[in-house]
Amino acid sequence: MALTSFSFLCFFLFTAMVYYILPQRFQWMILLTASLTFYYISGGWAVLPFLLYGIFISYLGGLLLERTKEGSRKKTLFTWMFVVLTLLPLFLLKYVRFFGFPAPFGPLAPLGISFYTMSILGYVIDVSWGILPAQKNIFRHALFTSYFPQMISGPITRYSQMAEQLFSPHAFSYQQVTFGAQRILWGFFKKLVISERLALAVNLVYDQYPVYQGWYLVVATICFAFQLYTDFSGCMDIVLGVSQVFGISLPENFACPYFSRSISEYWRRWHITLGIWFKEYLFYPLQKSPLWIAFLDWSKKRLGKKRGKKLPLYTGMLVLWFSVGMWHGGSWNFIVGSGLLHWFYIVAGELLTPLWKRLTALFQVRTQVFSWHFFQGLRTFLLVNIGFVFFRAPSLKVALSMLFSMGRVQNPQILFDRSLFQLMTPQDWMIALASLLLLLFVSSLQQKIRIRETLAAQNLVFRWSLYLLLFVAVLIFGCYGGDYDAAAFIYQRF
Amino acid sequence: MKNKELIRCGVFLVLLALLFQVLTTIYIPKWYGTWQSTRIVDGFYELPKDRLDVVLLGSSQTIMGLSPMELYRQYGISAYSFGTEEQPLYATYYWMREILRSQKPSVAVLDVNELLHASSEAAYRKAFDYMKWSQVKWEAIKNHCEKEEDSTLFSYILPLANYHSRWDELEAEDFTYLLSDKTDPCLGFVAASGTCDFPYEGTPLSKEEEPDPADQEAYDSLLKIIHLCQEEEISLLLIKTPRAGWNAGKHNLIADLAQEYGLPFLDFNDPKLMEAMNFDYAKDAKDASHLNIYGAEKLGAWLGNYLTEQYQLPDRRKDPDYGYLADLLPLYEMQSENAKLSTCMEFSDWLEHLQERYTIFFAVNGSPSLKQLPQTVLEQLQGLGMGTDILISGADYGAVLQNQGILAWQAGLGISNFWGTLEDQTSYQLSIVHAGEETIENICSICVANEEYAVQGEGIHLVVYDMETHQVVDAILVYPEDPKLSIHR
Repeated sequence: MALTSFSFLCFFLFTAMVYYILPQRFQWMILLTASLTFYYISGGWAVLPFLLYGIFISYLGGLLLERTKEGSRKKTLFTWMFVVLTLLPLFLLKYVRFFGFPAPFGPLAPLGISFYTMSILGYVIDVSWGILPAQKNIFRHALFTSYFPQMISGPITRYSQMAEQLFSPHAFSYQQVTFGAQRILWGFFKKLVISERLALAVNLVYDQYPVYQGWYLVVATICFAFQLYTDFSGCMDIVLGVSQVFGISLPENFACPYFSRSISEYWRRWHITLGIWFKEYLFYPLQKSPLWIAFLDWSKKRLGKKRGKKLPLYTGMLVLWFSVGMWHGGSWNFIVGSGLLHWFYIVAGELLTPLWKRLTALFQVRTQVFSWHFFQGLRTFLLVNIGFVFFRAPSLKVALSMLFSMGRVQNPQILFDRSLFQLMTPQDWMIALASLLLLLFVSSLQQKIRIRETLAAQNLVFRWSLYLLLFVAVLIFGCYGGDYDAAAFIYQRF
Repeated sequence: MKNKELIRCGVFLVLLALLFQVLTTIYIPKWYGTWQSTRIVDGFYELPKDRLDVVLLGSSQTIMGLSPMELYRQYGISAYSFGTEEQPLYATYYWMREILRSQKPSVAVLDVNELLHASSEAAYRKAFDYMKWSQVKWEAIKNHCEKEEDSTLFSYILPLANYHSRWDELEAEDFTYLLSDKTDPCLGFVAASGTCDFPYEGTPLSKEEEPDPADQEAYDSLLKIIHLCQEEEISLLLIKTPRAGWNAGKHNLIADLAQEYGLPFLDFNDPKLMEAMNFDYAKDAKDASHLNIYGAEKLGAWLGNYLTEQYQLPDRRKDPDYGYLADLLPLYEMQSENAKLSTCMEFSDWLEHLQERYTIFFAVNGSPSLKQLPQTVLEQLQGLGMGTDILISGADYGAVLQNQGILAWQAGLGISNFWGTLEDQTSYQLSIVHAGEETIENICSICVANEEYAVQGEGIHLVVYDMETHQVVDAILVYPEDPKLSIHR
């Protein structure tokens, strides 16, 4: 069931009505019923066992780990055992072919398995670390695992963030419901008007890349950057809006990432919950592990104190970024495009920082001004776009061939001689550009004010005119129905 | 929720629903082109209740082949011609049920052309998009979407999902539709113009020919129509209007079915019937499968006589409850006259068909060949109010003729800055530009309501505008050196 489908809207509205009509003590049960129903409708009976397995294994793991003595070998063994057991379905479904083995379940892709696996894995590890008490009620644990708004594309939640919200009663709040509805509408705008429209150009070029080379690929990659952002963040707006209607706040996953001035900042603004998860549960534990401490000692002895600290840090980051790339997909184009390439950027950025400082001082470049910040932003956007070529291309080889083509084939005239109208009609380009300008305006405003609260303080006629205009824009300019497949959110495949 | 919040929510949702409905009305296509499906459906809903004695059903061949107004004018029969473009029999069945919600016809005449082939999704949309919401519509679209993979129930329930991308195709009629008068003076009939000029003398019928296969869905739907008529005690008459490409196999398919269910079947492709109607396909049909206004009149005259004799239908011409038909008759006659004008193929004949209510836009490049125009034609042009001396003087000439007089005119070398507005605020502009720096040949332009109508070529250009129906009726070109003065469109 797609988030932008009429059936999902009906499902959501019905659930919300029942949620607020019945006594509040039943609310979490209503959400659980709705979540399991949603999962079944979206994937059928074939995928339900995977979800139930995940619920059961993590629930059992939590109970056992809580009872095991802190610091004992048994605890370590059980922790590793439940980590492996929790990751097992994900490995068998997504990664087994990467290691050359046949996929035991064929092309089956249970909805949101990459997302909820991370959530329950985090839960198991948090219980193992003694941060959380284990959840004794399997049904409440099931709700945390399967909470339906986040099943399609996240965000990846932590038990400590969600438990109190999911299980405590929520009185109807007019403001929460209207704010949630506004956010859902904004998400529809991003997904249907911008993302689906840009997909027309992107799909044409990337699917027929031997025909469209050089600057066609440049234009298509930039379009993909915005397609992916509006697709994913649009999905997040709908998910967070739906959850807000229930009175439950999910963590933000995006914070205007294309305003970033460095790759590190980019990953603090893009898919935020993924980055936090990998840092908290992989990178930091790795850095604090006995193996890495030994590595650090060895490195300092060999390379000196200053350089010695860097090697284990960069190696740890390599493991981190390799894992992030793997999480996106069990193939080298994702490992490189969403992982190793960014590791390279960050490490190279750190190593080149002294050189940058010398150069900017030498040429008296002002670094606290808008023009420099703009340059940094543009540079970051360009670097990120190189990664997107790998992300969107069907394979590593094709991605490299595309990058090579961008440099080799010189056809900038396509920007002026109407060749771009082969990719989209002039009207579609116009709508895409106007919508992106609107998005830029709203994103810039978001840096300064809380938009929904500010709007709520305006006069009724003004507010309602804006909401109705946005509604009309989605209805008229949205790419849905007929030839469009708005059901396919890009990150839904993960 | 507090009362104030509840009211605010309610008002907002009502506004949203209204906005949605207005957008749907604007964006749903208005099929006013050749087949006029929208007008036919809307016109049906404007009929007073329980007034139809006969319903004519089928597809485009029905709506162009059978004129209810001819049946009324000659025999006093109250009828409506219902068919959308390529209307599948599946849709005809549900439309029959929809018709029975407000009408009680005693006779249904069904053209069975659509029995022979499957229909496209576009045909289903034209059939159902304008049907009013009821149990009948719900059943029709639900069953259709269950069978067809490409059809989504959602897009039938909310047509805006299908048509929202039309925003760059919107025209004035999309915005004026909501408040426009939807009465159809032709009662579902489309007065078609033009001739096909190829001979077809009917299909010799042979019972030995193997029946052609029917489309299964169409066949099942036809059976449902038959049973529905039996239940509602409606006499069902199967017909086939004349069409080239008919054959004995197709005839036998329907004849066998008619025999099985005891139904009369009139196949107007039978050479005997065509002769009885004095039917000449080359002159009475507009293309290989549709009749023009003349063919429809002939078929209507014959069928009306048949219906009156066979079914004892009442004569409604003096019935005050049917006064609306008498009121519509003059409007229908205008449409009929317009269609006949656009069917003329010779200039003299065309001039004879001009009506007083027309405004005629005339433009001609000055040419010595104009002197060759026959005296009769010159006299006809004089009758329109044109100064024929200036016409044959050799100058370029443009004129706007109305009420047998000249409203405006210009003559000289080329025509420019010749524009104005008619009484109904319709704008016009005429120009003649000679070949030179800007063009490689002489260009004549006649724009009415900002739309170009002149047929290009070097000759006499005429565009006819109907001041009553507010539409351009015909645009022709005549070469004065052509001895036959044939019309080119």
